[in-house]
Amino acid sequence: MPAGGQAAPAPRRSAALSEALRRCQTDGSAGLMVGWAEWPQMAASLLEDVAQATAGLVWRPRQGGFWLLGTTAGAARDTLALFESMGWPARLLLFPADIAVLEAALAGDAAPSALPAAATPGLIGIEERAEGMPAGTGQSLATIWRWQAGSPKLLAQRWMVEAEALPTPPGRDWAGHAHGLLASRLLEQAARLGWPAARKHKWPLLLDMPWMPPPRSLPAPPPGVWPGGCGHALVLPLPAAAEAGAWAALAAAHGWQLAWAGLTPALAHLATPQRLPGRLFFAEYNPLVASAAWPAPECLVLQGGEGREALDFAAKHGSSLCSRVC
Amino acid sequence: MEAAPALNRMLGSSQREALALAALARESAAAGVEQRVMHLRLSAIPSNHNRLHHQRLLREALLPLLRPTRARLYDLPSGDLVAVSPPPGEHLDLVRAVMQKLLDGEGEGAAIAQELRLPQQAAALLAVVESALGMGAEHWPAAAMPGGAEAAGAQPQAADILAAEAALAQADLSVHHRWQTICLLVDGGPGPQPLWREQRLPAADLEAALLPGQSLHATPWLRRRLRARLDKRALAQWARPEELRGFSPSGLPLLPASLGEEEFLRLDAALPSAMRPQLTLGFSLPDILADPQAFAMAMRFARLRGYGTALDDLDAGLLPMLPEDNFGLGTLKLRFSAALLALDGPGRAALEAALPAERARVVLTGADEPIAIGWGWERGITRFQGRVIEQSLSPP
Repeated sequence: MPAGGQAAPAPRRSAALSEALRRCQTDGSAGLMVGWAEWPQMAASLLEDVAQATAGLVWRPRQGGFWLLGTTAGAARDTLALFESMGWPARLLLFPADIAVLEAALAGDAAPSALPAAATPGLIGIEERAEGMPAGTGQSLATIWRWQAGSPKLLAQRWMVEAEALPTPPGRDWAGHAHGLLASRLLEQAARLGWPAARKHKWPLLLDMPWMPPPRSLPAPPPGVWPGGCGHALVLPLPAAAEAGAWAALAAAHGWQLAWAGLTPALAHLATPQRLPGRLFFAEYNPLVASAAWPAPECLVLQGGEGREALDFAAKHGSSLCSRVC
Repeated sequence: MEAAPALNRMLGSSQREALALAALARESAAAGVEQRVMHLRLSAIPSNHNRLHHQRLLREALLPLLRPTRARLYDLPSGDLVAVSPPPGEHLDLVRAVMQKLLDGEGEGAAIAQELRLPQQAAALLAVVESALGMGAEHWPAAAMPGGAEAAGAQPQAADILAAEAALAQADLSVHHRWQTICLLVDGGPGPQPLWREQRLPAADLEAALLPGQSLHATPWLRRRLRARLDKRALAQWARPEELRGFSPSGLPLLPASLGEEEFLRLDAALPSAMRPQLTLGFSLPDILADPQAFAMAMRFARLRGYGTALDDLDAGLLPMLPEDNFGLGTLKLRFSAALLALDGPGRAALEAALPAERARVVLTGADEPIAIGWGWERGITRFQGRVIEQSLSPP
């Protein structure tokens, strides 16, 4: 139990739930257990539809997840297929054979549980907190490298945002805002020529950028030119691609190339200089990355996964890896 | 371009001439045909020499010089004249000389008679046409301009957005809703045929009201946050029984993540399944790229429930960037802009190659001037949305 937490009283079992349990124990009804869904309200809504059509019940235990109970086997199978198509794992329950699974969950729900301590990070003042962070926090220097003839070849360094340094409540937009605040600090430091101390002068520098409209001007990159290869580059968040042309012109005018962060397997087709002006495309590694068709895998940079699979994928396809060094 | 009856009804003769001149510029650029162009900026003549009788005198002096030649004369809506002639076109030099003589006292003659060469200066000539049609640079979206003009106003902070969200929580936005109709308008066919209507909130006005003195221009993540709240309010209204009773084919631009919100799910539950295909959910490219996971989820749900989907408000210049299947979205809503008229040959070819073969899937939005209709028709596009359409649907 977290410090400061307190025991929550066990919920009373509703008449409807008691009736559903009775049917599961005695009838040949079926159900579905959904442990997690990315969009819980949508999952609940879909289950409610089935429950209404088949005189079933949707139960939401305190531990999380959803149970569809008292439905028909056919409806449960159809719903399972539907949830699998949404990418939400679910388990088919055929009663009474699976009654023990349900009873265990009901017992768990009845046990006293701890209320989580309120620890949601606040948003008010987040801008001041970002501004007041000590120099060097909320950022790191990473190395971009690839396998070449069995040895790692270093290509560039990336001055990147450490978004976890500025926690936010759940939500893509708040996380994006926090990233933007930290990336804006990098840009301000760059404008003052305050390059990171650990930067190696013989490699190009990639600079994480906030999502913002193309500004009127940009700071100049650090000295150094790498003709024909990867040069100093601005790493833009993918939504900035809607202004890719303006960004490319602006970056080129100030001596930068472009790179793009936030590629996913579903957007793999974008990761090529034929679609977006840039030479490097960053994607968080996960198993789906390996199964996607990347049009220019040599331009792909995998980050967040330095396990065997990511290394093998990179070696096989000539992709690069992004590894934090400090 | 052959002007069709439906377009003719909407165009004045000088607008038709401007369209024809734009078409000539493009054809000349495409075919590499050389032409001399004399742009007579009669609209720029000082006002003391620009009364009606002055203009008549100028035309009377100029037209006899042009009529017996192979030159073509275009009378633009701005009052300017454009003479186009194959080289050598010495008579154009004579026109310039006459202009200088007529306006000698003002020393303006040379500036008012400007020469252009096709195909090299096709873009400049198209800019003249756009300007004459009232589609100058001010019609470009600021964000699309390199080094885009930054909106005035302080950047709001997260606390400001939270306060704005609280203010919106119970707000009735129905008075702010704006409807536009998407119409089928076929070259040579009858007038615009309404297909569906689309609801939009005037986001800029609402932002200004909610965040006075501040601008969300440079903080797109915060803007999305506020839009999410606006989506919820709009959806809450859509789910009202009285709204559903009068439901007709409609479009609704949303953030992909809004489909996972209670307000959308309430609407979903209230809409009979037969009506769902009549609701087209529009997602914009930046929103898709900002949250690809939410988009993937929204698409799965939309397919499952049978909703129509659209790629909303796409800058046409970005079309070649898209996958061939347009992310699996059914309708492609392409935003018309003056920049399309100035595309060079390769740019135009890339755009046309990227258009879906099935043109019925394409809607040209921002059809605020008749030239947009003409541009669309040249590419086989017959579905339009914009001021021209609204005006033609309004009772006289």
